[in-house]
Amino acid sequence: MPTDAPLLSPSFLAQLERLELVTRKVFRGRMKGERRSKRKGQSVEFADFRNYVPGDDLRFIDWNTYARLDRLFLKMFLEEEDLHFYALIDASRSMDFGNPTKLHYAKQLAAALGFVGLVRADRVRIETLGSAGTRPGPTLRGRASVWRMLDYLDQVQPGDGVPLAKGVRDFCLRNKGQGVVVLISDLLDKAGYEEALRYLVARQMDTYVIQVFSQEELDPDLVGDLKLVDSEDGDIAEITVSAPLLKRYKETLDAFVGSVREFCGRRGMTHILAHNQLPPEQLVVNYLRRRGLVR
Amino acid sequence: MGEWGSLLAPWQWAIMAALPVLLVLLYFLKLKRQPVEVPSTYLWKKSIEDLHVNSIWQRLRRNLLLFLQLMVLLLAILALLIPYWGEGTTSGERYIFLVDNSASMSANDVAPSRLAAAKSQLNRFLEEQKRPQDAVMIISFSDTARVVQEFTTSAAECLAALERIQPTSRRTSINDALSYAAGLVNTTRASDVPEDEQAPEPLSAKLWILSDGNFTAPSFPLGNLEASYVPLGQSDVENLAIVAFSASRPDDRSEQLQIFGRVENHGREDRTTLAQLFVDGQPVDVQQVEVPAGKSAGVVFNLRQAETAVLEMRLDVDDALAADNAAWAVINPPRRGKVLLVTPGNRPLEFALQTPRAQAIADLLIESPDFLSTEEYRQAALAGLFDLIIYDRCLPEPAAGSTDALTPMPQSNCWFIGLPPKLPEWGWKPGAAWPPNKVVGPQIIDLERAHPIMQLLDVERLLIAQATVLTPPSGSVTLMDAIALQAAEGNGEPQRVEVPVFAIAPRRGYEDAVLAFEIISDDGSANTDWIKRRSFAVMVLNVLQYLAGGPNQGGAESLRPGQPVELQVATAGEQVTVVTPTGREVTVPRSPGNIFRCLDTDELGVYDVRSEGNTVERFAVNLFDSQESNLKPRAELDFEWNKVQATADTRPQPRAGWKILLLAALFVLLFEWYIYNRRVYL
Repeated sequence: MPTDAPLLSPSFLAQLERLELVTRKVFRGRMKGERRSKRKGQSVEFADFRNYVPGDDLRFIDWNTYARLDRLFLKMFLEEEDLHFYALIDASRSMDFGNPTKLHYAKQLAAALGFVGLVRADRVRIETLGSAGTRPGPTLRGRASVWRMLDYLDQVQPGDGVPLAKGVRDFCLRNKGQGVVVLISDLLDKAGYEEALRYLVARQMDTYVIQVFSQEELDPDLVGDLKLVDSEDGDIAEITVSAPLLKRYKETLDAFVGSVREFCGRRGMTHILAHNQLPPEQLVVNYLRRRGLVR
Repeated sequence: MGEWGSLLAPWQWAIMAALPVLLVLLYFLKLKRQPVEVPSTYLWKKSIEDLHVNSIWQRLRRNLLLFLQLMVLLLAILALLIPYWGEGTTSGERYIFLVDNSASMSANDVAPSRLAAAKSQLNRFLEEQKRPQDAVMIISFSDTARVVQEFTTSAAECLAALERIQPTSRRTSINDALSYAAGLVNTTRASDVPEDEQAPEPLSAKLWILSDGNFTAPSFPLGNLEASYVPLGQSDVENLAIVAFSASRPDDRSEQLQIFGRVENHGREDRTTLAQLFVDGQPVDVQQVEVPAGKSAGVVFNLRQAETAVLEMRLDVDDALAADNAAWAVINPPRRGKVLLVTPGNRPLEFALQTPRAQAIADLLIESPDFLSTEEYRQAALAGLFDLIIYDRCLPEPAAGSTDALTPMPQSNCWFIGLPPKLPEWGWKPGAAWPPNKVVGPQIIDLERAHPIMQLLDVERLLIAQATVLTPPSGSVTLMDAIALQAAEGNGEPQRVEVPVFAIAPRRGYEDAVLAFEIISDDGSANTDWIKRRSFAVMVLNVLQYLAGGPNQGGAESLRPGQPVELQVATAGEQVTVVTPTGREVTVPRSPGNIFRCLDTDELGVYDVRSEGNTVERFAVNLFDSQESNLKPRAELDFEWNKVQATADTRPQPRAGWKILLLAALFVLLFEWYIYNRRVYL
């Protein structure tokens, strides 16, 4: 799949139309949406009764119950609200590898999920990590904003290295609201991924971590005596490729992914491992649906 | 297995030893690491941390690739060393090269010639394979051997010696060359005493025979010589050769000259060619010769010919060997012998010596026995002026006049009649009566008919009255045997004894014939009835032809190249000049016995013998050797004790181990490549 392919294909869009974002937590929205809110309010969906206290809006008194029991009860409805959906794309240089690049893959995922959110009248905001100078993405709402979202995604380029933790912290500072956040990254940061994830936990957001690797990282196609140069900090690792080394690498990789999964699991986050050869359709429609992000 | 430790100079060893170290160093220095950009070295660093923890040696130990590379390197180094493995010694190898420069080596089937090919092989050996400590000896051989270069370690000397080897027209005989080589190597004449430390150690040497093998390999024990044979020439070579060419006058038509030639075909195909006859350089006749492959054919020319001529036959072919496509024969002017007859009077003998046939052979001088005491006789006898001196019932007198002394023999052939010479060989003892005992009535019982003197003789029932008892010396030929009555000592009955009555014995280049019975007795009566028979004149003619050097009826005998020739030239000068076919002039001094010995006969063709500017004689030198003309190189040399197989050239045969090592290196390399690519870990 070439990197310059459109982020969303029409058939994919058709599939996405039927989906909606789900959150295990119920947040307070700011505007009326299509989603139940914790707040009881004016809507068609009945929730509960409660005793009338002076000052309540008389419009919500259930007169039928008053007639039968001669007591005043207030009818409460579940208010439907919108959902805040944040997609965090790691745009560090390490994401600029693979075919398609991991970044492109991440954009596709973000676009797909954002589209679902927009279609369902959720508030969608896409932000990038790693590029310090880039402006934060606009908050989008409504189906009409799909093209703005895609425009924004098109502008995202692999940027200068910003530590993962700093990027996530900036994101948290900028966005006070709660909601669903999907972090799309390879989490390959020498300072560690734990701090970054802790910020998200602290905001009590419904966090999904989609860890993306390229095929080359999962199964390195390297031969000989090599000097590996880190794309982000220029760090050098000299290796002589041998079967034990490759075995060791895979063990390390598995251990790393395992540690991330465990970290997320303990903190109520969902970890999803993806690689750039897995079609985004499949990931969204199958994997994410199974993990409860979409429905 | 020899030592190969010292084969390389120390600095070469240093390089060899440095290579593996260099390889390991390269591993440490990681000079050739290829930079590859990866998303992150995070996982890699973590992965190699475990490997880094261990010591660097442990890391090396785990690096199979390095070890495989080291192995390839070592195998390659070994493979380089192995060719000399077991061949080198600390003192250097000894090589003896036998280079054939006989006539067949001039064949041009290997351009430019086989000898040139041999030289270039040797040249290549000297330049490419000879190590500085190797000693090389070069011997060229044709029918004789010549050491052109003694053992030397200097390649330059060898190359100079190589230039001295020139092609010859001679035959091939490897015997001398082998003897030279073996004499230097095999100590057959070592001391008999086993403890003798002076006895030289037998030394081994490598013997290279660069030849086409066209010789009869002698039975020769090679001993310590490790012989190899490099055949030169192609096996499908075509060659026509004249192997015989001579001229003779038929007995019945003496004015006719019959010229006979024989042509052999040593090729694979039947050939038809033209044989041209030249007389004194002018073409006179031509004949077509058809020679089947591997067979021979004769050519006969009949010619009315003058007294002297140079005949040449040429084959109109272009084949590998040019030397045998022409042959020469010479008709020399007849040379008359000189005969001195010393006799008190012998008419039948004088008559027999003066027949027209006898006169054609020799001039006769008749003297009485008194002549023997004159100074003139002594001079003539000493100078060898006569070819034959016939002493009829007389003997030359000793110089000092003492009768007991030995008979002074002249420098010529002698024929004693009735009285053997006073020589110890002939049974003479100081003080003994001379002539010795006589026998009566000898009857001829046997003739040596094979001898030229006895040819065509009919001596049946020959009557002889008396004969002297002959004791022929050793080496003599008894021409006539008889049974005779010998008077017993005292008054006993006479005994029948077998006695030789005609014998001939060699004497320092001359021959003495002794007839035991007189022809005419001193009293003038005949001692035998032989004089009445025709066979007497025939016998005298035979003696003249044999002892007085009768003229050649046909051409002079052909000589082989290099064969020394003895010329009997009637000249007053002390030297003659021999002009070779190429026009070179060789001065030949007179040897004792009125003979000129010419040794310079290497060229093929006709030689002029000149005295005072005039050609007095000619002789021809021809190859005439079927073996030389057969150019097909032999596949092996059979010295009876050892068989030497042909090898392609002088390069040392690579040992099997060399190939195996290189093959092993190749396999290790493949294995390394496989591991490198597949990242397999054993």
